[in-house]
Amino acid sequence: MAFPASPPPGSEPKVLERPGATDPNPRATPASLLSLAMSFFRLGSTTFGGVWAAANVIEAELVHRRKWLKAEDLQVMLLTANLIPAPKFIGLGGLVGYRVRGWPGSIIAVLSLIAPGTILVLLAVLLIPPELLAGPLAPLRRAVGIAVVGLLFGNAYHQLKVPKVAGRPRAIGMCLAALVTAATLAGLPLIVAAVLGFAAGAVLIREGELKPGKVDGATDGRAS
Amino acid sequence: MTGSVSLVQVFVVILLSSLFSLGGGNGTTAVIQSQWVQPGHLDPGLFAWVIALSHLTPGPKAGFLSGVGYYLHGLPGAMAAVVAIIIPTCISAAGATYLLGRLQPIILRIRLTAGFIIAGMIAAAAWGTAAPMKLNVFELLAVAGVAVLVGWRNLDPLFVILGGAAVGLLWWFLL
Repeated sequence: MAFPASPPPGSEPKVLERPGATDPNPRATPASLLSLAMSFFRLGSTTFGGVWAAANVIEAELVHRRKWLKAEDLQVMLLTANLIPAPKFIGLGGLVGYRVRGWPGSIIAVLSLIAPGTILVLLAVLLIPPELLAGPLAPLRRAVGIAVVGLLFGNAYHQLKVPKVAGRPRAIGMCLAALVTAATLAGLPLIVAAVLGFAAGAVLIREGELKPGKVDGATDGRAS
Repeated sequence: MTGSVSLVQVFVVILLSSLFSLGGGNGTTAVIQSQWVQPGHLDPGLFAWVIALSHLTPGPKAGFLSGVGYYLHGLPGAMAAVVAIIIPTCISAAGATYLLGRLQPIILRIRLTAGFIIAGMIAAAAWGTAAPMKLNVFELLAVAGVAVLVGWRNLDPLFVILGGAAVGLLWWFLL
């Protein structure tokens, strides 16, 4: 996967600049950090359900309103966000910010994207102290806790569906998932279990056994 | 707040946990459960509470890290948690932009496995969160029902949390 080649004449976005970019547009005026911050703050404060659920809103803001990217650029970045070691949504923010304004853009985009949710979570934990949750609101906390445990198990199952492999590789993958869970519950440090699982999977599960006709990485973003 | 976890630990663990978000999976949750909830530094109920809050608030779910950081080390902990998730994200984004073509075969190779491994990690986290709650039969059935609705029927997590909150408020009202 690589970023798309230069856009056709007449369809250039306003900004396609970053250090080392292959298709900079010398006529474009770089987006200001303030506009980058405003756009990502808006996305961070108006979207629910993860990056895939918000894909249309993101496209409307970054492609159609700001014209910083082409739609296909955004699609590549949405998939790339799955490939980097970061939560998907803020990974996308980092990729777009870096593409538009380099390192400062990346930091500003991620910070602005994460700020609304972070502030609201912090306000909630400040306003509702643990004593209140453990006392009068204990039933609420327990019911929400049960919902979260169910949500985690559901997400675990959902993750099992993401790798587009079938047959023997899928069976191996399922075994690896079970082994990672069992090893962790048996006391092996989670990180060690995960690294061993990744190593075993890299050896045992091959790319050639991908299911045909599937786009890898197109999850719904629930777990991001 | 437990105060038993240093600011540096908050920063380092969350920074490293982001490595397990490869492939879009929320390995961060599993790492936090393993490092802080299981050893007793963070109450399982509070952990579940901040995860629930992140589903009730807009934007990326990573916002729950600020709550985790706050419960572990107050407001400085919350700040450290946020910075710790921003740094690897920006470095990864820059690295991916430069090196994507060259690293693609390696990343794809790992990525084929990522869903399975992260599923195992999240399942362990779910079990680790549920175990201290000592759920009764009806609560276990509720967990199974939610897992089925989320995993098989793609129920929006927002509705799961709102539903849980509604049941909790009804429970509290009836008591």
